[in-house]
Amino acid sequence: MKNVDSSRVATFVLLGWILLVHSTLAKAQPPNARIGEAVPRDVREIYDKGLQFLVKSQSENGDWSGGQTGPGVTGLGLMVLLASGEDPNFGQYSSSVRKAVRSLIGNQDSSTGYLGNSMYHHGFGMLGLAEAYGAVDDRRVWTEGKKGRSIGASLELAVRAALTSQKSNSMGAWRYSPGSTDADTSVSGSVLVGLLAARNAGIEVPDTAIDKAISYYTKMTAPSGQVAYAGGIGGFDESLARISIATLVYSISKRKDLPQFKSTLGYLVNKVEFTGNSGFGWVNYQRYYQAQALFQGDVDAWERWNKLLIRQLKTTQLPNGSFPGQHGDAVSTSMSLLALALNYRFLPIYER
Amino acid sequence: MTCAIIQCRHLTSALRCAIGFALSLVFISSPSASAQERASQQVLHLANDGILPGSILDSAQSGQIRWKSPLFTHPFEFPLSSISMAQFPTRVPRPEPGGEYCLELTGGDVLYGDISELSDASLSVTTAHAGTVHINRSDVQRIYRWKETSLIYLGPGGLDDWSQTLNGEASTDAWSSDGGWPRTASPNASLFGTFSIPARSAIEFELSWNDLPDFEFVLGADSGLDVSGLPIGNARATKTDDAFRFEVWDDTVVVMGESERDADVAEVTPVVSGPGGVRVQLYLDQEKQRLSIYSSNGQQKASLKLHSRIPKTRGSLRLSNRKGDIRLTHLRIANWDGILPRKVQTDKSRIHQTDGTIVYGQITGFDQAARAFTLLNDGSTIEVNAATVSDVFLSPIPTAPIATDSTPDTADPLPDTSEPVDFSKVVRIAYLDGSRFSGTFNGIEQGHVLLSCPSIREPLKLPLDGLRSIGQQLSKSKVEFKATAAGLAGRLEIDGLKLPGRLVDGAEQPDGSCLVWHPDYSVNSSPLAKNLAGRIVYRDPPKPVVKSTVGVQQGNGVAIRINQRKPAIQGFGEVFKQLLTGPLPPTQRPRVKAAQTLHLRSGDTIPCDVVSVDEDGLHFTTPLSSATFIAHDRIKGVELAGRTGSPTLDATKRERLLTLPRLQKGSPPTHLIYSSNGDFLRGRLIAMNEHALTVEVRLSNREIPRERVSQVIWLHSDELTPVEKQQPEDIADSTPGDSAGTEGTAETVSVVPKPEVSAVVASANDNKHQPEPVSTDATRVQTVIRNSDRLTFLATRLTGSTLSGSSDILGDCQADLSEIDQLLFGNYIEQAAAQLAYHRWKLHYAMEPKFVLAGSDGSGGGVMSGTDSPLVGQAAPDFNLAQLTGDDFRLSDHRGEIIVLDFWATWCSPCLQTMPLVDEVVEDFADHKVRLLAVNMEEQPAEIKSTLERHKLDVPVVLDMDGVAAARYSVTSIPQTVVIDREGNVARLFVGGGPKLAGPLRKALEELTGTVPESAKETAN
Repeated sequence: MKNVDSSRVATFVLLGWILLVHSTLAKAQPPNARIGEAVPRDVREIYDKGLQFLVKSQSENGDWSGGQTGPGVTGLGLMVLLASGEDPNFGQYSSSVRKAVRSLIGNQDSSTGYLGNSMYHHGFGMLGLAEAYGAVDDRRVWTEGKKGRSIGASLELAVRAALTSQKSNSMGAWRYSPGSTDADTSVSGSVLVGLLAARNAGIEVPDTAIDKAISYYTKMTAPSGQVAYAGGIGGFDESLARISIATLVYSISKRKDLPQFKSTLGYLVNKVEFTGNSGFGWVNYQRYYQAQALFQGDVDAWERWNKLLIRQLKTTQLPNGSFPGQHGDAVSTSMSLLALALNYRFLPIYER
Repeated sequence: MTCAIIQCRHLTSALRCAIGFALSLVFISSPSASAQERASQQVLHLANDGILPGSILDSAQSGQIRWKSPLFTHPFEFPLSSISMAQFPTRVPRPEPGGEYCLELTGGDVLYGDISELSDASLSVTTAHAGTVHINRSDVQRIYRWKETSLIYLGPGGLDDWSQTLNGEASTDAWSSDGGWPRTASPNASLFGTFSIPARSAIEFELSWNDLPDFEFVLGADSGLDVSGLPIGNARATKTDDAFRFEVWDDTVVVMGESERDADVAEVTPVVSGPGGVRVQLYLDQEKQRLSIYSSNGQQKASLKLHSRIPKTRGSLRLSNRKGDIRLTHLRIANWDGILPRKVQTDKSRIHQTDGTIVYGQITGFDQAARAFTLLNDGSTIEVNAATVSDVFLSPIPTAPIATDSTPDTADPLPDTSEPVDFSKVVRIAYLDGSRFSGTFNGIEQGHVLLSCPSIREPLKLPLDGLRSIGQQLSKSKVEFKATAAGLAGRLEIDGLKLPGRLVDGAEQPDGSCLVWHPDYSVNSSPLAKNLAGRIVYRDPPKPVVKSTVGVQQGNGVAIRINQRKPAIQGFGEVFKQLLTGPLPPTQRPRVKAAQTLHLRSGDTIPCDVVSVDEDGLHFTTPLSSATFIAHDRIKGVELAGRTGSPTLDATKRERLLTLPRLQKGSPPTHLIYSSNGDFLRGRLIAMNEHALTVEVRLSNREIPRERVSQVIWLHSDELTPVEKQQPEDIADSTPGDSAGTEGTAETVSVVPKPEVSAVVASANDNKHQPEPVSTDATRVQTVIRNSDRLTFLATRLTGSTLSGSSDILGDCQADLSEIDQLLFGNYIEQAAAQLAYHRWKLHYAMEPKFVLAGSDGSGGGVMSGTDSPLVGQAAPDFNLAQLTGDDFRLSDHRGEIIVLDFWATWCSPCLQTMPLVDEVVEDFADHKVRLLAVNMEEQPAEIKSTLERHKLDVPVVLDMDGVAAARYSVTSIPQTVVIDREGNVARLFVGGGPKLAGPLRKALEELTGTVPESAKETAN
């Protein structure tokens, strides 16, 4: 309660200033809203340092260990490599890119298309593949040893697995297990964003699947903009991560017309200076989605929020380039860098 | 009514009186831990109340003590006459005295040892400290077998065992230790001592005074402490109305008792002008409410009896001085068997035996072989077995002489020597075991005190080991001080040290500071050691001023007006004119005029004109130097619109303004902008130029006209404190009207307590800002004028009253000590700065919500209660699930067992981390019908088996294939652990896992089973 009170105080004392201050916001032009603008030096330094950590800590198999391990972690790592702007086929990280792609495809269930571990992993793995599809040359992926599935085929298979899982789900969304009958907005976010990325990449994803999933999100969104966790249980709370997920899926499914989009985005923008830290779990996860949601929903708000992100990442990055996190350094580093990667906008999913 | 007159106004036996009855103390009981803490080092107490920790050194000179303190580079030499007491460390447990007998000598000395010979002239005793010595028989007042008595306390020995009050308020200086004797001349000063006085006790005490006394000495007082542990003052003394007490009625010392039913009183002794005293032996029975008073030679003088309905046994003593002066010079408390001494012929030498019988006669000898005393009675020799002896009185005890300050002037010197006594060399030496010696101090040699004791034939060589104190009773004429060193008189205070004296000329040396201290009385000076933290006080701050302008005196309803604080306007110009010199000679220093004032985290105040603020720091100009820049991390505040002082704000609003919401932890505001009309704005000062401030508010940049801003306060992230660590003063309003911009005098005084408590109280945590790096070629000092204007610089030399050095901000600096109130040095600068008004504007975290503290998301750090769920206390929802083994499991079939449900899934890594911990705890209770059931959520058996094998887990699993059981138990996140008691009710429900779960789960099972497993005990051990 105290934090709420004090924010009210802050708001209250702000009132006295309204007449004094000249907001520069209205006429502000985000300096790097257009591709080609210089990326701030801090961003480049943080990103490069983190990237070096991920490259060094990647296993020969292409995955990352030391915390959470699996296709989701590999998919996130792959996106960091792709978002760097280096040529994925010939650039300095191309070897790491190919290893990550091989790891994802190699561990995919050839019959079901399930990438493994849980639908969380499946979603992030699918997203990684979608971002690699069309950018990474299949002919260079499998030059050593056995030949594997192409990225496109693997992505298509993964999409099919996600759709199959959705069909058996009464909520029209996803939960941890592919066969789950209930759903939650966190797991579903990873899968739905993966599907949307695959669709953007040219893989066929039926509109009905997207609509069903979006419908699930609208049901889980309160008029306040808060987003519930799981259907029927849990209720609403101030999870900026879930509110960001909802904002993001509404945005990239091109459903900004929904009142739920307006409410979730409004909530986020209103709390734009709230970093979150405790109580709703994992701050890196929150930032990962918050960055994309604000960028897609309100680029001015993202511009402001991005300053804060840079400030925070600058102070929390460890000397080895990683970011600490409860699910392992690879996950938290990847998510932190991907939040920052909006400054580059090299990933297709980051297009507005 | 009986009257007992026990008084000594005509002092005899000069040296014995001079050194008194009670010298120092023996703590048979250990009254307080804090006393032990304080007594953990050697401390020299000077006649001027100076306190100097260190250690005593060998000294060939009989009139001096050499003392080395680690706080100084060189030892000091103090004339013996300037020493009040040298105190040595106590030990726990206190050493027991050696030998069988305790000998009390007429001068107050106490020796423990074995008697080897007794003649008409002397007594030969072998003691632990002095070896075998011969004591003048005429000086032996009393001999008793000390192990036959159960001594509780023998003293006093300073003030360590007592708490003090003055006018009912706790005090630290209302009483002084006069060579170990508590003494006061302050009206309404009280001493409380808690000695665990039993229901039946024998108490012997002696009080003395220099002139007409007016005191109250209460036996069996309440503890003297209120519920908060603070001393109860005189105003509360009515609680002890039914305790026996000695007090002065007009010109008579009386003993009285009063209950709700009756009262009794007896006269003890009249008092007249001039020095005097009283010494009595008491037998107190608190249960029977009876007090018997005896003279010190064993003659009963009075007896009091009360008839209270509810007798109380109280363990403390209270001595209150109403006016005049009073000194407690002897106190002996022992257990008493309730049997009063038999009637005794006090004019005859005698032996008291343990069975109560008394054998009269001239005591002629001691047969060491037979271990028997021999007496001559009516011509016949009587032998008394030593084993049956309790007390031996070799000769009648004269009326007790009472020592006073005037003793040396009025008393007859040593009776048996023609040598005049140099009282300035007379010391009293006390050992931890209670032994006490007194005599002429001849120096320290190889760790031994050389002493000539008038009652003992041999010169004594007493080891320092086991010593409690070396003290001296001072007469006023001896402690007159004449300064031998030039310099301004001040008081040096370092943690544990308080030393009046003066700074003398000095220059920074590789092994010592440029601050060279010459303590008053000392023969010599010494540089302070390097890297100390403390202060020199030249002028104490004025007495605290009550903030409120009108106060109402409670009780009589009369409104009284309290002095209003007047603005203490002191221009910077005057301050720095005196403190700083640039290239100009002192007489041409300009009066500093500047529009703005910069407050640094070090506490410094710099008059300046602020040019701009940018990402790196603040740019300014100052007439004081050519400096133009200071980095953000060194700034605390800036006053942009003249010197108005720290902003004021209602305490509640201030607390809310400084509270950092939980969700802003990652991005705390860095500045408080205070407008000219009293508004506050939290944000981040991005930049400032001559026209406007650019402030980031809610991540948007806004421009604020500079003329609208009165002040900017920097909020540094290293100042952030958890809400539970907030001190009341942290959120208190600052003092209005203090133009100097600092807290009021009262606050500042309170944070710089007397050194005997602690010279510095602000811990490093209070201000994590790192002080300047330690300089090896300078001493970092801060001058303080009127507790407000401060300047920090690295001092390298003191010449006369001018302290010279340089500041990395302002360049060369000079301070005239005659102009400053205090000189702070070392890290004390930061500790003192932390208490300044600007420095108390610092953010604190908001209180964390309960679910975060409980770690429900696995990230919190608190203790999981397991009792927050509404399901707790309800009947556990039943289910019937298939086990991994194929069998069914119906919960309701297992009434009488304690069931632990662990909801989990193979993809949930916290679940897999937690499951072995839960299994381990449950296994410890396996003999008490406690069963674990891992409820898997909606996964296939093959996947589950594979996971269990991979993690080498062997736990019974049931399959919640459709999630029904999870829904019934409100599972919203996993792991979730539910404990169901033998009656089938939910006893605990824990959400989240990890190591934090094991303890609360184990505790829950201990409660439900009523047992603590052996394995748990082993773990605890």
